[in-house]
Amino acid sequence: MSKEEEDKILRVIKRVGKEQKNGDLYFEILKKIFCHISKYENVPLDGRVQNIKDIIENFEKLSKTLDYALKLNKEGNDFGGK
Amino acid sequence: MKFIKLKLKNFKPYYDKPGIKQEINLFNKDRKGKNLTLNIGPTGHGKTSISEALLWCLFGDYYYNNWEEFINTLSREIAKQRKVNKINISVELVLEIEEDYYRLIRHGIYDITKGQKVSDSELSVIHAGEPISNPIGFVGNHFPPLELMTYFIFDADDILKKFEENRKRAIKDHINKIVGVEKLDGMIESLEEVVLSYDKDIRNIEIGIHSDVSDKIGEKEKDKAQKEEAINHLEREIQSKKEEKQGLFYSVSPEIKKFSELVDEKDKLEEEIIKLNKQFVESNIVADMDLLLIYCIVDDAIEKLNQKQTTKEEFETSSIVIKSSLGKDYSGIFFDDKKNTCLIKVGARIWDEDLDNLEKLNLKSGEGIKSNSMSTFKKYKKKISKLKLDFEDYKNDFDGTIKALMMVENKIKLIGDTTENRELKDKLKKYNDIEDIIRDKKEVQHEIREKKKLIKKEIEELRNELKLNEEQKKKIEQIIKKQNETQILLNIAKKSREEFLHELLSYINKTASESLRSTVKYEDKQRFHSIEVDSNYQFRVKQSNGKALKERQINLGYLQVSMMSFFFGLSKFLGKKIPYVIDDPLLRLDPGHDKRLIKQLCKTSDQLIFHMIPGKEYTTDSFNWLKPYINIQNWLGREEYKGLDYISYAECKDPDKKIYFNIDKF
Repeated sequence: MSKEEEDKILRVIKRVGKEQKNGDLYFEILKKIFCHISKYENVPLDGRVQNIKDIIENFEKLSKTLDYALKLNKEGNDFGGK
Repeated sequence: MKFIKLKLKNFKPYYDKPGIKQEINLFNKDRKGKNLTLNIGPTGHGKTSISEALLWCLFGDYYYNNWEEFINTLSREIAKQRKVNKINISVELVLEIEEDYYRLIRHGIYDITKGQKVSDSELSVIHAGEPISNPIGFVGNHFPPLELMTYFIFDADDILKKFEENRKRAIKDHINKIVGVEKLDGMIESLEEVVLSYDKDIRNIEIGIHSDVSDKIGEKEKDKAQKEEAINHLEREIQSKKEEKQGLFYSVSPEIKKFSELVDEKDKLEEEIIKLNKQFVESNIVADMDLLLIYCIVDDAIEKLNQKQTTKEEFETSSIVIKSSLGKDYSGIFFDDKKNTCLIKVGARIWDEDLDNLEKLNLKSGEGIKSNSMSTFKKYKKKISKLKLDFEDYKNDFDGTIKALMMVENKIKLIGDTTENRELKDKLKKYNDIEDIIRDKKEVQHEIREKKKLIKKEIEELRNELKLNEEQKKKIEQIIKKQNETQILLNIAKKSREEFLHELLSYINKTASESLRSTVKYEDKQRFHSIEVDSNYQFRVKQSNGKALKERQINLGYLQVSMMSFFFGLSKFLGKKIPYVIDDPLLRLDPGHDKRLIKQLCKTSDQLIFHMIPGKEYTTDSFNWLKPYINIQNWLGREEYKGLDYISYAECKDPDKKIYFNIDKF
């Protein structure tokens, strides 16, 4: 899949995620999961499951820190603005 | 964009022999307005090689790395005989873009002595006599990626075969190729597994505590999952019966057509009732139903009090009854000068100035009503007013729909009882039988749902038996929290998929439907009205009334036309204005369909290049209806060379006269 096609999908996820409370956080998690899936598509499902659980748990920890919130605000995002 | 000319040198059957023109003219600008090029030739005369040459020219080794296999066999023989070490292979494509001409030249060298290519093939693009600096970029800018070129350069027979072998798979592959939805599907699948994995984590904690109870929970969870599957299975059966019902009243008889409209209306009203029920369950009306019900009772009681004389005793009794009926959640009732009535929730705070009005209820002091200096009372007053309006609106909609449904059902029954039309009587009997089956299945579904609720309750009770310690409870709570968060992520991913596909599918369904309507016979236009592919890759052909046709109601000819209409919709979505190069465009289509589909393509495409088999696709009849569109027609001939092998050549023929050939010679 080309970068352009991946970006298109991520733009839609961002737009849909915005409807949710904490939409930015959910988008960041899904973006990471999506990129992980793209990179490791030959990894069996159970292997991917643990990696995804790690991603979710790491983000949970990150989201509790002010640093992350600041980082999110500072960097903005590439998919449709802040 | 137009393909003007193709020059082939030692490419497959096109040997670079002096005296044999290995140029294939593809467009004559003096015949503008006509955009169809025909390359006519029997099997083995080099038609498919033209398509391969185009793709190799544009994409080179990326298209086919072992391009040495493309080298003409005769050229190898002759090079060996002449003791020449290297063979050149090349394809040159001349194309026109907005009246500007470009020559794309793909070139490769093969070393005979070493038996391998000297290096990767090279591409140059010449414009106004000068090579451009980035030929690969030129191809990238003007053509879709290689994997998408299959929507412009293809064999129609192969495309149809794939649809016929496994339609859903073929549609999924096409959609994934164009928008890459498979990665999104992969993410959804993984998230679903994560949700299940959290269930397993909870079970592991439970097993550690009390394996018997945990085993029971496990069994109940399985039972619950089986019930869910049974509910889904019944739902699919119900949908299938509904579709069967929809196609039942198709007929040319005006009486049956009119009856069919009544049946459609009944179906719509029944769907509306289901929708209203769902809205009601999900609305705030249900959430605050206790408030609303008590309000309605109190309101009614007050109205009755206003209408008749009431003794003090009766009033006091009523007050006590109402007060006791309010239960522990409400401490009293308020009504003001404007006869607004409100319940007062325990803990609500009342404005001091409202206190006087409260006295009108004549409750003994100290009982029921509590007052403080601040108020949140008005919030409840506003809430109830809105709730009352919402309920009234819902009730009006619901009652109106029920009334309309009853009227339609009565009309249907009356016609059924009085009609002399045999066909209608039979269809109505089948309709009623199907309705009975649907009703039975819904009842079974309802029973299973109720059982599933019981099992859920049993699981909760079993969980309570486990007697978890605080740490275990906390662990399970954390897992459930993560599971809920993952569920939210999953819902976002699923919704994104729907939205993502929606754009593609809306466009393709619209374009394919227009193509289908232009292709079918006039008298079949109402029946084969539109094409719908949904996000589960289900392909449906629908009538003009919106009802889907069953598979057995669509003959093979129309199915093929529908498939090709869908396929052309895909290429249109890509939005690239490049020529179509189609092998065997007419081979599988029924006579009549082929004419209408091709005529439509000729009108809507910039350039069409067809590779056709003489005698099968290219006939006197087909030439006559293709003639108005023909820009160039080439005969692909073959001749033996020095007894070594056959070589192909292209001979440009008069586009206004049918090419004559002796079919026995093939």
